[in-house]
Amino acid sequence: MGVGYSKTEKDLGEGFPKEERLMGLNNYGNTCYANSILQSLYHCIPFREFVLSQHNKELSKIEQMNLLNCLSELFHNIRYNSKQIGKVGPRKFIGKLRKVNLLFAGKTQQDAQEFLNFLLNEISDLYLQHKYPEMNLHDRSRQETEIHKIFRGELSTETKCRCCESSTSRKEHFLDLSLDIQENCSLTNCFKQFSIPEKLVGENKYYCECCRSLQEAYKTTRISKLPQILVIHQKRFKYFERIQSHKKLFHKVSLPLEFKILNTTKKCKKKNIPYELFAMVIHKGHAPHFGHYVAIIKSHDKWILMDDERVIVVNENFLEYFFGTPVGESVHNETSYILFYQQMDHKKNIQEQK
Amino acid sequence: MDKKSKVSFIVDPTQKTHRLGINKLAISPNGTLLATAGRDSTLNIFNIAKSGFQQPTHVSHFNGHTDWVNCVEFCNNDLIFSGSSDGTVKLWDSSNGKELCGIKNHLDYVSCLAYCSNTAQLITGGFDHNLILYKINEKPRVNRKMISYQVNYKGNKDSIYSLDINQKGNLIISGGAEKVIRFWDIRQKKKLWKMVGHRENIRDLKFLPDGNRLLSAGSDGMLFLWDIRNKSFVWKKKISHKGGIWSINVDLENDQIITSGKDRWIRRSSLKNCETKNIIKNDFSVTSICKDPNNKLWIADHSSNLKCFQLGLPLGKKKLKPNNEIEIEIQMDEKENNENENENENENENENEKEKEKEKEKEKEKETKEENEKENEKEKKENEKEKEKEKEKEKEKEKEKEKEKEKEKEKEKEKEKENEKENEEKNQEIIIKETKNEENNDNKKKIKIMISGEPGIIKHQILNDNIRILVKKSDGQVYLFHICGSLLEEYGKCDFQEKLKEINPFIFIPKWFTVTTFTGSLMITLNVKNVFLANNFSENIPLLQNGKKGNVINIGKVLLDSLFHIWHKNRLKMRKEKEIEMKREMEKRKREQEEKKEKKEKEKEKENETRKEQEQERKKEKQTENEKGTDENEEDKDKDTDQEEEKEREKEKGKGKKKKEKEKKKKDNKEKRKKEKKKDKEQEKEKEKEKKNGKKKNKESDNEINMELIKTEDEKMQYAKTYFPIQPKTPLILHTDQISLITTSQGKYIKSKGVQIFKYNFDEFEGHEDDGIIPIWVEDFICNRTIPKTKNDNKLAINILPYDKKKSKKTTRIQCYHLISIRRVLENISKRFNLKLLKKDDQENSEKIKVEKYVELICKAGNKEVLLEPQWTLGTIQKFIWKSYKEMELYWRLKPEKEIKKK
Repeated sequence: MGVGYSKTEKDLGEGFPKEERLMGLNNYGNTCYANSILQSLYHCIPFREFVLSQHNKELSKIEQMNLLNCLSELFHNIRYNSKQIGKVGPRKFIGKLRKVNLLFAGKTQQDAQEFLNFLLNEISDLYLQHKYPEMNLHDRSRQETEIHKIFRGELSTETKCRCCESSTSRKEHFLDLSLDIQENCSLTNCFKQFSIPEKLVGENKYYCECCRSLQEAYKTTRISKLPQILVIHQKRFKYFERIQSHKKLFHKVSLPLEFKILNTTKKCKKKNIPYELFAMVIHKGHAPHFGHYVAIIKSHDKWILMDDERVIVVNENFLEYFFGTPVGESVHNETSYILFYQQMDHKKNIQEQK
Repeated sequence: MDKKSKVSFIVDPTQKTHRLGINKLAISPNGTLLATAGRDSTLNIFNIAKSGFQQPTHVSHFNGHTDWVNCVEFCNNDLIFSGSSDGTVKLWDSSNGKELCGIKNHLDYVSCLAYCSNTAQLITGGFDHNLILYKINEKPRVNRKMISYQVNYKGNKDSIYSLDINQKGNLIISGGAEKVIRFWDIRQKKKLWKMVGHRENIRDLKFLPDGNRLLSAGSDGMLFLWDIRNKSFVWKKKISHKGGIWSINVDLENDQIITSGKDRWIRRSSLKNCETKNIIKNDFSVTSICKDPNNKLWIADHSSNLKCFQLGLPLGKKKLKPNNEIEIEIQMDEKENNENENENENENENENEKEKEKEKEKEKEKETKEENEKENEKEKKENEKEKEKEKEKEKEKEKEKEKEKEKEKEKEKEKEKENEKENEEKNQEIIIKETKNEENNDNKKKIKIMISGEPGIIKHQILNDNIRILVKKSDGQVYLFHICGSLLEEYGKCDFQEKLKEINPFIFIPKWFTVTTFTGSLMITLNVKNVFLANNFSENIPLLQNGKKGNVINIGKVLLDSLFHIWHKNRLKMRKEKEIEMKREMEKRKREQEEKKEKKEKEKEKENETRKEQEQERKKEKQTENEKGTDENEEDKDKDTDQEEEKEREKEKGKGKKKKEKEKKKKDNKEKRKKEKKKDKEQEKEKEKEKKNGKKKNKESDNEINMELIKTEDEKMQYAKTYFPIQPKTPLILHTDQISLITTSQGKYIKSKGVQIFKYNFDEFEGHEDDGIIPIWVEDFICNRTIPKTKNDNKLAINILPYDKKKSKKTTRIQCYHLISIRRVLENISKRFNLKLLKKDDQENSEKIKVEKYVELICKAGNKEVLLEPQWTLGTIQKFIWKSYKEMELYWRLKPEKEIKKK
């Protein structure tokens, strides 16, 4: 293994900043779903900085610590590790995770997206509990946290009744955006598809408040607030009623390294700022609760594959391998699953600050 | 079982007006009748032939539909077609509102229909993407199949919102959410071509009388004139910038197209050059407009009121009428222009948007031009010609205007002398426009005739007792209705939520019906799944007839009995009559057979006689004796036999009557026996139940409160039914999912797909409504008193625990119905725990100890402790205090002695 590390260091080249750490994470029995997400989140700079800011040296016993403390200790261990490339064991974090949520208690594989969603919400709650211990649950849940500032976007759903032509809109927050995928399409296509008006007809008619009856309607969902970090969850696991289980779609979805979101509302701010890809969670296998997860992250213009404790520098072209299988070709089962994009100007700002 | 079959009824239906918005208007071919299709599921017919501005008379009311009526068209001056969201198309008599025929071939809402009188063809369009063509038979009143199905045109790719048929009856046009106008050939029964241009849903389509041109209007606010010969548009114009155009009215005589829609404006456009002027602004979005022969414009909108405006003459139109009118017209136009300018000023903010829109439109136009290049070339030429013509016209107009202005000045002086009232009447349109800023007041002035509707229900809430419904109508008035339709309280204008809080009782009764108000009236729906779920004590049920105090009553059973007892009575009567008829027929047949036999015998005799005669004749021929004498003898014989036959018949009749009486007696006896048997069976069942219960009791002996006291009323008294007073003529809507074809005795011919809906007034059931019309579960209950078994016996399990473990450790578990009161529980546990409650003071009245004086129960829910009142029921506590489906835990304790002494 020692040879591998030295090779990676060579691959990084001299330009790579010395204070940046690339640490593999030990697998404690099918915990690659967590490892891949943790790697992606660690290399999400605003999130890393927030978590590190929550570090409390006084807490060391796991009984005293909550999940956020565990996470910040883990990030601290990575950030201030003596080696630049190596591995750490997220034992405390995994241990705590298995205690606080029954879903992740066993040693079976879990859905990385479910884990990400749970982790972000849990951290957000813990942060608020710490910050506003006196506040009641309802008021507390309305407070905006750093997590929200980083990841939270807003969707606006407009429904227009075909009968009275009046429209109503409803707003909804999201931490990650779930996108349907089609065969041989691009991510921009998926976004387009996302905002194509949905017909509410037949058995699925819309109760129009104006008509006070069920009428046909169009429903259109657009993005009304763009998040700083956009997490995209590709709906690769589709439920088929016929076989009564989830099946993985291996469709090729080409991912742009940079792109602009076009399906925004008129009032949406910053809609011209492009997003760039900085991390990608890859799923190998046929079902969300089976197989293996790895992450590819971008750190200082280098793409690095994080496969549990292994750290491998890869070429940018290598990413294309994970876009999926085009129609007609024999399926290989390693596909992109969760994508992490960041707003480009924000990253520059951070660099300037440094 | 038939899950989709259900029973609904409408509380307090309307009779002569509408309760919600009016969707569509139609005027009869002779121009005397106006039909209005309402969202309240009814249609009304008004006579509008009266001169001047007299209030039209109400002719008839049709309530055969069960959902919004979306379209209406006259077949002739007597018959009317209407189509509804319930999927049906109906043909009915405009003079009395009686249904002649109902068909359900569409699988979704019926949105539009058109009729071609030349070929007697009806075309209907629906949200199921289908167009269905029917042939109307010549004598609909005689023939049962008045509407015969012809063709289902499939091929639209989205819901149809508009259609028309040409006067020759060979071409159909359809439009809708697909945004294209499709053409269909009736003779070849196929799709022809489509015309592209609209950017949104097409809401109205109208052929011009020449059959070559047509108008279309859509949600995009655009009005198109199309020419079929070159399959392209002649002109198009964005008329409305705020919402779509929903209705087109063509008036070729005056070269005007009147349109209306979402933005409340009623406009007129010239067919020749699409020049558009605003006429009036309504106070609601206008759903339909109709012009009658007297130049009155009838307006239907989202309110329940029907309005009528007098139309002036259109721009540039001169008629040989008093000069005043022409002047007025001109004045109006000028003012309209000014107004338009004002509007523009007001809408400066929107100008940019408008410009953008215009740009977009231009772009779109380019696209459409690309689509229709050839036609455009023609258009351009035409446009150029038209422009030239227009210039000429304008010059002419200017001259005319100058002249007319001179005339105006002269006549203004004259006008001043005239009565102001007359002016108001004649110039109403003008007045409206002058005071445009005060629209509401103006509109009232403008309205020549107004047929006011009723307020509809806009809000409703079932009270906790699941028997009363609080309702708010569109005029702000709040009412309290009983489930049976009786109005219990009128609260006037008040806060709905506060009133609800004030009157909502603290009790839990399971949900056993659902309420909808999409027709502006309360529609109550009973479903086999839940109709029998609710019991309550009779004293808690208002308006209960024949109810005894203290009995537990199943509300659903009472309501079903109230709704169907007339049907049941008539049905029994009918059955008896049928049986009697059957017997009569049997007897008749017997008689006939006997007669036949007799006749045959006679014939044989006759034959024998004739043979004898013949023989005799032959003999006579030989012997040549008198012929007449023998003939007479024969006639006498015939008479004798007739008399004998009559006697026999009489005897037989007598026997028949006796037989019938005997049979009746037998029947009665049988019925009695049956009843007895039933009773026996029931008793047996009860015994069995008791046995079962006994077994259970053996197992759980102490754990159950004795339920004998709480047996339901109709279990005890099988035939003493209780009723609610149902309002006369309450329409029942029966949904059944069983039949496809039915011919009822009323001559209704119904062909169905999917769920079939029947509408009857509950007090007009004749008893023949039978298989397939009355849902099986209703029939089972009404006729046989059988109820589908449910798995849940609705019993609650309660753990009684000591409040203070130091004082007592007595615990128990009780299972009982949710209607059991805390008082009963207290009594039960005091017995079970052998609590010595007798104090010195009470020993005298030891027989009637009120346990609640000494013991109390407490429910711990969350952080709160609630002391339970003795009259509360366990169901109530579970629903409103415990708030969980887990087994309830109640804590008991003896009351402190001090408190007892105080009391």
